[in-house]
Amino acid sequence: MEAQKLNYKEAMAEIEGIVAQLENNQLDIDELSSKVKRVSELIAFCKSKLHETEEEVEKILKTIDA
Amino acid sequence: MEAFTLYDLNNRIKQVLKRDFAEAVWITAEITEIQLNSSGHCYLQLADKKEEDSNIVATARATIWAFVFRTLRPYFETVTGRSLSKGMKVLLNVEVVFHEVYGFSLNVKDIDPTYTVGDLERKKQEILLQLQEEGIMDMNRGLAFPALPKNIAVISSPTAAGWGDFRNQLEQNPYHYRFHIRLFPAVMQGEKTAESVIAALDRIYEYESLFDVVVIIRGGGSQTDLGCFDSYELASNVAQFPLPVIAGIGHERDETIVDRVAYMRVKTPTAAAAFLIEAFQEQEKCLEDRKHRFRMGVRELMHQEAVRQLTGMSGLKRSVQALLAGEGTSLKILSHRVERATQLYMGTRQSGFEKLKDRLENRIVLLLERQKDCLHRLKEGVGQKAGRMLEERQRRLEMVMTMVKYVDPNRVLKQGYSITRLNGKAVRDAALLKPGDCIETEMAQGKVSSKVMEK
Repeated sequence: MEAQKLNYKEAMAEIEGIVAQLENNQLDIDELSSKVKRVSELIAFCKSKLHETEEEVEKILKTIDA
Repeated sequence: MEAFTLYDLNNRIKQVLKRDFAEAVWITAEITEIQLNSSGHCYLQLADKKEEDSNIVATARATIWAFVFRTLRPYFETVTGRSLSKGMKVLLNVEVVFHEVYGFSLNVKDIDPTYTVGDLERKKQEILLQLQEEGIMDMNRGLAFPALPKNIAVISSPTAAGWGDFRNQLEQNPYHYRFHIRLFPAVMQGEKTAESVIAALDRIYEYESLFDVVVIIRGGGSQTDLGCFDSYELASNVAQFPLPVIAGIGHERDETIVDRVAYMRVKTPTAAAAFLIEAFQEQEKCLEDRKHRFRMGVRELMHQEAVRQLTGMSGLKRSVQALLAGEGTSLKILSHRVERATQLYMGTRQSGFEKLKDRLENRIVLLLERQKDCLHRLKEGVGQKAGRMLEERQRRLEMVMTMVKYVDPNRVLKQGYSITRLNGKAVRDAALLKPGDCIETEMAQGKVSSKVMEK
């Protein structure tokens, strides 16, 4: 999963898009398993944004001398 | 000529002033300098400025003695929400004092803070109007707040209690949300505040892309030192900052101009932290909601599909049954037809046989009768025919016997003919003989053998 390229807002928007598709009966049963996979990845990504710190960001913040 | 001593002069001035200004008077002035000394006395430098060009038209020293200042100060601060400070316009009740050594000064006996309040408010309104006219008043408020304010730039004094509260609140949040917090230290009290906060904002601006939000924290300090947050310079910087600024300047009273232009104002640093945590909670709720809706949607879709399959199956079953039933009926019909056809066929054949048998029988009878007839006729005719045949045979026999009489060889031989034989066979052609052959000649009476001599 391209977690690094993805940002939170886009991930949320993508989830919403898929949910809307599903709710509007625009999702084919054949696409379902791939969408389930995608949505769980996106949810995991969003959850990690909520609950985890990113080392990379921490590192950069430490290099700033204010 | 009689000359006064300086003391005499000063003393006379003192007496005149004392007489003419026996009562204390109310004056308005601007504080241009203020100093508190260790014994609690407050020394002021006052000035009067022309409204149009701010040129100083009068100055004076003033003193608030410690015993007065102790009561005036809290009164003033309670009413204005500000401490006496440089640049402030005040309405003072002053005693004119002239001291032979220290000269002219004003002894402050009372202060009317409502005048200052009005003046501060007027100044504030002027600044707000200016920000409005420049079109920057609502710029920060117009920014889109990030969905997840995770990376937070904090402007605070590193020693402020509010900063500690803020950080603890964020780091110890019960939902285990994780933030990235970076402090940009600034002086948060006194004259240097605006300048220092602006410098911190400039630092953050350099790393703008790293951060989602800026929080200005000023917790724990004096409640009456907020004049700098009414500064046009600072307000202008905050208003135009490209990241949302949360002002947690920390005061209960009227809001400062920075509060007005900031994306969001909160009363305490703790409230600022709570606001950020709430944003996370909202996102988590939103995420949970989507997750739930997705699950339900998937379940619904699967259910629909199952129903569809079931309906499809039973439909298929029904149509197969219908088909089978149809086939059964047509099979029955067919077998009936076959049966009937067979019967019909058999019936037809049967009668055909019957007819054929009849015909055959008739034929046989007819044939038999004919043969009988024929036989009968034959029997009748046989007698006649036999008689006639016998007569014929008789006649022919007689004729043959007559003929035999004429061809009898003995009769021929008697008439002088002889038969020549070679090796027992009659020779009918002399060419068949060659000299030396022994031939036998039969005559009517006897035979003779001879040898061919010559040909």
